[in-house]
Order: sequence, then structure tokens, then C-alpha cells
Amino acid sequence: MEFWMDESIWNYEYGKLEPLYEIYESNGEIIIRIDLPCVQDKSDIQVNVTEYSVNIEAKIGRIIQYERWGTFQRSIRFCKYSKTIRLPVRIDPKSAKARFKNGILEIHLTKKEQLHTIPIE
Amino acid sequence: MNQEEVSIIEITEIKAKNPIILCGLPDVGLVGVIAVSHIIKSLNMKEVAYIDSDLFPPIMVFHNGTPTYPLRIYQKEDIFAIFSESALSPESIYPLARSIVSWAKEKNTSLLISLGGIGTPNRIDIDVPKVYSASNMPSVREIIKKYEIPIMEEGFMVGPYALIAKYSIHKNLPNLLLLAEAFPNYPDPGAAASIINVLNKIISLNVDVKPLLEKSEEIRLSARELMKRTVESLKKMGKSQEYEVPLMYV
Repeated sequence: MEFWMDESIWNYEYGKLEPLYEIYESNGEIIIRIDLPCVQDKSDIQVNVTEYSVNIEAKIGRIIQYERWGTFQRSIRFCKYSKTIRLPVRIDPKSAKARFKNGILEIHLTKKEQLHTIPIE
Repeated sequence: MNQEEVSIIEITEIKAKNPIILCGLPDVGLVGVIAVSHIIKSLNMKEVAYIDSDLFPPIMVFHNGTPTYPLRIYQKEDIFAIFSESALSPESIYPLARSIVSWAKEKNTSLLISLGGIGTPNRIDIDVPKVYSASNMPSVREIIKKYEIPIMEEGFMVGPYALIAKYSIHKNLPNLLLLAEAFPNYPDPGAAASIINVLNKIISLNVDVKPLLEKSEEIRLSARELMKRTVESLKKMGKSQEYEVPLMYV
């Protein structure tokens, strides 16, 4: 659905919420942290990684229901988070590691590009 | 209203003797907003004023069918709480900070406390966030020393609290900054709880943080939109400068 609030981080038709996330580079790694409040266990999260993107689907522990959602004034339920993040560089999917702590999912990805040290003349 | 002006409109007669003002504006981790919101509910504070400006986004909030200004001031006895439900635009923070400090001075405020967060990269591994402090007044620094609250020794501060600190110096108003270690980009009720615990010590606020921590996940969920808009606004203010090292004494 094309909606005028193109910056919205929810999709009421599919009951999906887009999680807040941050992405940065540290020590040759790409680190992504995703805020997943109300996700109860790591078994409720699925992470799929390609060389160029990370996709996260996570089940919200209990159904979030708003009886009068915004100006719609109608009942809306959210039951999962969904987000695909395009990566700024190519990564090695096999090296990906993740941990889930206090409702935050942290993913470490190793960059595929190799660094070549050059001599200074 | 002058286009550049921010007005504080009192909706009831305000009486207070040397009040303390708690300021909860949208900043890192929404720490101040979450803390002040919990304090307002816990102490059953009453709305006494709202803040308006043509520089604010054209927003009204509806609560129980009643349109309400997003920036409001609450009171209980000699404590005021300033609270915003909407992100602040970079253009509005100068006149807003000036208005808050002038209003505080007019009320003979004994202490204006800015509640905020310091973006902490390893926050995920911190169970109880530390609270750091800074003040323009030696007498306030003595209080924070007495309660062993670490002082923010060096660094930059960017955003509305930086301007409140600046104008407080100009107006000779006692200002205390309390900044908890926080997630930079996510709502952080744990950091807000740490700030309230410090307030419980230094101004005997007596607010229980247990209900706040119990509702932590729900708060993080419902504050996502405000956090997203706040992060966008803070970027425009140059918030990343807080991670830089000041040149002096290097």
C-alpha cells in the first residue's frame, strides 16, 4: 500500500513493524544492532544474510493490539518485526555471527573486500 | 506571536517557592522524556502550562479525545516537569532554551535539572547504566560530589540541553545536567530508571522505578516513532560532535 506517511515504520495490512536499527563499521567488521522489544527468545528470530543484505523476521511475544490506531480509529494488530537492510559493502555471509541480549539483536559481519598494505616510497 | 518567539502559556495560576524544574526533552535514548513521563504519572502531577511556537511542527496530540499541546509543563508542589511528546526541530531549540531558562528565572527556580543520555556504544553489555553530571554552580557541584555522582570531566554536548546550560550561565541560574549511559538510537527506559534513582537521592523525589522497568519493553515499542524522528533531528543539530575530543589541554 502506498501511503502518504512514507517514513512510517509499521505496516498495518500485514501486521508488521519495522524495527529501529543502527549499522556501523568497526575493526573491519560491519556491526548491526536491531531493537526488538517484546521479542521473548532468540528462537523467535530468523536472520538471513546475503553478500549485500541482511533480512530479519522476528515474532513479537504477544500480539500488540491498538483499539483506535491513530487517525484511522480502527483496531490494528502487530505480531512481528520485519526488515531488510542493504549493506554498504560486500560481506562474507558464512562469517556472520549474532547474539540476542535484553531485546537487542547484534549481528557481526566480516567484510569481503581485502585490505592491501602498500609500501610508502 | 512573533515568528521567532517561543511562548510559555500558563493555564492556571502558578504558585511555587524556589521550585526545582525537571526537564525532559527528546534527546539520546529519549532518556529525559521517559524519565519525566514516569515521574509525572507517579507523582500525579497536574498540567499547568504549555509551550508553543511557530517554529514547532504543526502538531497537536489527542489524549482522551482532547487536543493537547505536545510540549507541556506539569507541577506538584515545588516541583515542575517539562515534557515533550514531539521531536524538536533544530531551528526551535534556541528560542525554546531561552524561554525555558527565562521562565525558570522568573519563577525563582532553585535548580533546573536537564535529564538526558550519553550515547554509549557498549550499552548492550551494561546492566545498570551510570549517571554522569555537570553543573554551572559550585554549590550544585558540591551536592553531586556529596552523592558521589561522577562528573562529566571533558567532552562536547550538542542539542537543547547544551543551550539550556549556555543560557543558564548567562542568567546565573543553577543548572544540573544528569546524563545516563544510553542506547544512542533506541528508547532506553533502563537509563531513565538510573536517572530517577539519582533524583531520588539528591532531591528526595521518592519515585519507584520498578513499574518503569516492568513496562520497559512496551515503552521501547511505543516510543519508536518519537525516537526515529528525534534521531533525524539530532543528526541535523550535529549530535555526532559529542563523540569528538575537545582540543583544549591536548
